[in-house]
Amino acid sequence: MLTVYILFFASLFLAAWSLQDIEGSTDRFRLRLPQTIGALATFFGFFFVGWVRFAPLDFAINVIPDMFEDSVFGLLRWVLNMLGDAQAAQFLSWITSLASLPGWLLLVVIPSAQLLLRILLLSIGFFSFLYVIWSAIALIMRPTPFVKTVNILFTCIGFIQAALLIYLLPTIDSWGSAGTMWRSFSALLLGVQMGSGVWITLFGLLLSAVGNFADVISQSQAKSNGTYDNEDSSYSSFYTSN
Amino acid sequence: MVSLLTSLPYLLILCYLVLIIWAAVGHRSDTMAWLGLWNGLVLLIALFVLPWITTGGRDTFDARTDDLSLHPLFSELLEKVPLENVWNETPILYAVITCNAEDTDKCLDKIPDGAIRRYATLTRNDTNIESFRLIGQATGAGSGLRITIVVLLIWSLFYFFWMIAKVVGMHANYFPEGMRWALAGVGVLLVPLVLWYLPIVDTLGYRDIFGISTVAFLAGARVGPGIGWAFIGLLIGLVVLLISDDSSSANI
Repeated sequence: MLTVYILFFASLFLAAWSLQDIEGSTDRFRLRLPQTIGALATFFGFFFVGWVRFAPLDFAINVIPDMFEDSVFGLLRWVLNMLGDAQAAQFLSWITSLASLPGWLLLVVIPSAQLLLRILLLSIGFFSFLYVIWSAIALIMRPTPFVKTVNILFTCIGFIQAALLIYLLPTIDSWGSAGTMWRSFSALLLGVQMGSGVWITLFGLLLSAVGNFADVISQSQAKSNGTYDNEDSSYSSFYTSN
Repeated sequence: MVSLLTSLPYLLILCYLVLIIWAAVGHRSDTMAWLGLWNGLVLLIALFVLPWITTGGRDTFDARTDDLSLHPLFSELLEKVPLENVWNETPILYAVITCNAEDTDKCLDKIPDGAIRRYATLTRNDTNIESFRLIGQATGAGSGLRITIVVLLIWSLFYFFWMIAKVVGMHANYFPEGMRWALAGVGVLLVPLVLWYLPIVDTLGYRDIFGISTVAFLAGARVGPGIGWAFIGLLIGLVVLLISDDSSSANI
């Protein structure tokens, strides 16, 4: 919950900062920062942070302690005693990190019937590369109509992906198992939960879309004010001329 | 009633689109007020009419308990694990898989945890559960959901009446200027809360209480459209609040 709050308000602050007085902005860094952070967050959240976490140990501890008392937990306790406190915590965090799937691995385990979720995961994976590459290219490119078109395109795609992701949150949280009894039951026993990777990706998508949108607005304002020429002026001279 | 609930989202989307286009083309404070009024109505529909949790009802609950109790995996499990040792920790699972389907009512009565027992009874008896009925369900660690629903409900009522007053041009008489910013502030705080509860409302906002998750599984509980529409209403409501201009709307 705290992660969601921090991400939400950090995104909100960055978006507001980016959009504030955008007409007269001379700060390239300020204009491109939300888009760059958003692109990196989408990439990082999708490929490296868990979208789905498994907690079978919780199930075992809560449900069938007697069965595990002498076998698995006995072994685990022995290992932890051998490692000592500091290393035991590291060992447990390592086990926990193994029991989670990032977004791209979720593609493998969700049932084929969840076609919309598969399409969304594929598109986020594909576009997260493009967002990162574009965030670097857009910094050095002149504000041509091509740049504006790509920004508009990425804004629309980002918002659509974010809306679809919000719509599919319950499906991700249930491991794509809604409606199927034995898959739901396996999700229950495995203690399937949604990981923080989903939130990082979602706020990354929104931030990236808002960043692209801010760039479109700044270009439109500059064009309507006649402060740059498509053919002659450079990106930096456009900003410094303001 | 079912066909009405099925077609309602499409009607809501259609009206939203018409009003948003009208507000964008007209770009006047009265068109924004009508959009806000419609949005307030959608929020109230999402809170009072649309289900936040849908379940398979009695048939699904009984069929699933029956399937589980007949499965060989659990027969073996029950032979190995003494029932009395685990009854207090996971009563619901052991209660249902050791009962026949026709005795489920009696078995549910034996569950010692009040929250789990109430939720099991509710999900077994009703297929659609609205938000205001969840207020009495989520207790203890899940009281965050209860608080969120109550705050959202109060926020929606204020927002709705404010928009009515704005449409008829009386809002300046009844609502102080600072109220718009207060509503916007509370709305901004509500957005991440509603977003957080959106995927886990079917387990009453609990993430790791096995008994509640088991009840949700047995009843085939899923997140209903109500919370999704409440989230959309909240977002559009915030936008309307932030961009509506009070000074010009007083002239409607």
